[in-house]
Amino acid sequence: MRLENKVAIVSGGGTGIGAATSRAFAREGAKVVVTGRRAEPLEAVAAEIDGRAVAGDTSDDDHVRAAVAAARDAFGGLDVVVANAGLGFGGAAADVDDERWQQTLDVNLTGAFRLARAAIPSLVERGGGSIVLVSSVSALVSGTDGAAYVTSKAAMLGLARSIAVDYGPSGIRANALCPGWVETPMGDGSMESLMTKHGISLGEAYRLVTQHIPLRRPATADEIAACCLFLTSDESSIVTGTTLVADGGGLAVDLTEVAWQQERP
Amino acid sequence: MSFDHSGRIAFITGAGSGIGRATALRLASQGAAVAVVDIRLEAAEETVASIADGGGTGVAFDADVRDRSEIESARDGAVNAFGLVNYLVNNAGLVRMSPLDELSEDEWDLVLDTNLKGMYLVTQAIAPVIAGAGGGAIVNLATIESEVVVASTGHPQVHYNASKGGVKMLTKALAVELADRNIRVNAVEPGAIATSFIPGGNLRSPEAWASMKDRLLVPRVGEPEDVAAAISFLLSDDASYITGAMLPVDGGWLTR
Repeated sequence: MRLENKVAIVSGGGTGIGAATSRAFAREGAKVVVTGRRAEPLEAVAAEIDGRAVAGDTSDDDHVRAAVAAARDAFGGLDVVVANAGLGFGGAAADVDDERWQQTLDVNLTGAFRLARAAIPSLVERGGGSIVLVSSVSALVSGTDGAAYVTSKAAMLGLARSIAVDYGPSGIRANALCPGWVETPMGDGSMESLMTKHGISLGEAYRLVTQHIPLRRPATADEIAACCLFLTSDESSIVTGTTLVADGGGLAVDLTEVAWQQERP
Repeated sequence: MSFDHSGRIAFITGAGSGIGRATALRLASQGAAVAVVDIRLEAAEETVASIADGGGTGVAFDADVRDRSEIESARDGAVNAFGLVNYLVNNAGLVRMSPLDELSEDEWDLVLDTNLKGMYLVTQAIAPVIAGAGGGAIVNLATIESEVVVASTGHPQVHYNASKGGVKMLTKALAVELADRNIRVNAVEPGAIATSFIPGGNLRSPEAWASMKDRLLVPRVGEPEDVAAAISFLLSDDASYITGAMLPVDGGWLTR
């Protein structure tokens, strides 16, 4: 098993990529603390994998400290952190109000920072560990109408590199993961405007946004979880400070935004 | 349990030594049967013997990746032995060092033909076989020097840098073109790995470590097995949404 005797925290672990990652980690032998805003899905995932659920807002320092304390109390320490909690609001720069800007940065960026900050001393105590910041291809190329989201995801790459540089000597690896479109509740939400615009189903919307991506489909949450597993296992033991792109080849071509320019599918 | 490559067939060039050999051994230990290709038959045979010692399956072939007919012979041999191919690891490569003023056309051609043209020739020969098997994956060996010129070594190598920069875009272009045949194409970018790749270099020496330790973010020089593990991941179904990607395996070399 690739994470035998390891203890992990996965934020945003109630649904989507976070839930899939929590399950994959447990399958590979890890004890997992799942965190997120809503207690109900968290507790369901935790019960399923014999983990612990800690509900709260990822940008709240008390919450992330409670999550680290839960890992230490329940499982004796901490080795792996996946900062996955995230949200997205639409809006071009001139249209984003302060509240939405701040909330996006708070959750996506400051939440990842606070979780890492709370976790690092525990990882150092174990002689090292692995941190994965779940960013997005939006960190590398900008989608339309996503000023706050794009900015928060790009900044996560810098945070991952900075942690890698400063804590490499303490045995901590830190990497960013950049998924493209993923079939998750959050991805479903992003499809709504296309579904309304074209009068199409959810599946048709996913097909539309991925029609020019080489693999011509969105990722499943399990496929992204498998990337988190690689980056946290010993199989990536000298991979640090990098950005793993898991996007079906979307960044290799220059056509991913065509769907929004088209009049009809 | 690590990645399970049971029933898969891998075709690996430059598999007689270094990263290629480590990859052949790793994939074989994870259940794959391996066509071990090297320009030196005896080196390929040594790798096959090590695979057999571990209870795995491998067959040795000699081919110069610059030579289409030799590649096609190795391909035909692999297909005869195993029936199909699922994975290709384009690992064969070399480095030479010459300042521009002294760089001969022959040396330029040797480096470009081996590192870049060789990948084209091998991929052209093997991709249809992989497609015929229903798809699979290709991993190319790029390097951190596909991204940056490591000038600190004092070794001028415009031809090597050019070849490995070419590998990066070859990888992306192949990923786009081969996606419809259900073939993923990615590259690893090793940093300082303790192999005999650099003529006369010994990255395990205390002097080499002293020169690198402040550069790296991990407390040791990379081993061929580290790169083999990354290659195994990229070939596996765990990486089924990754194509056209570059994965540094470099101890953080490119990070700062």
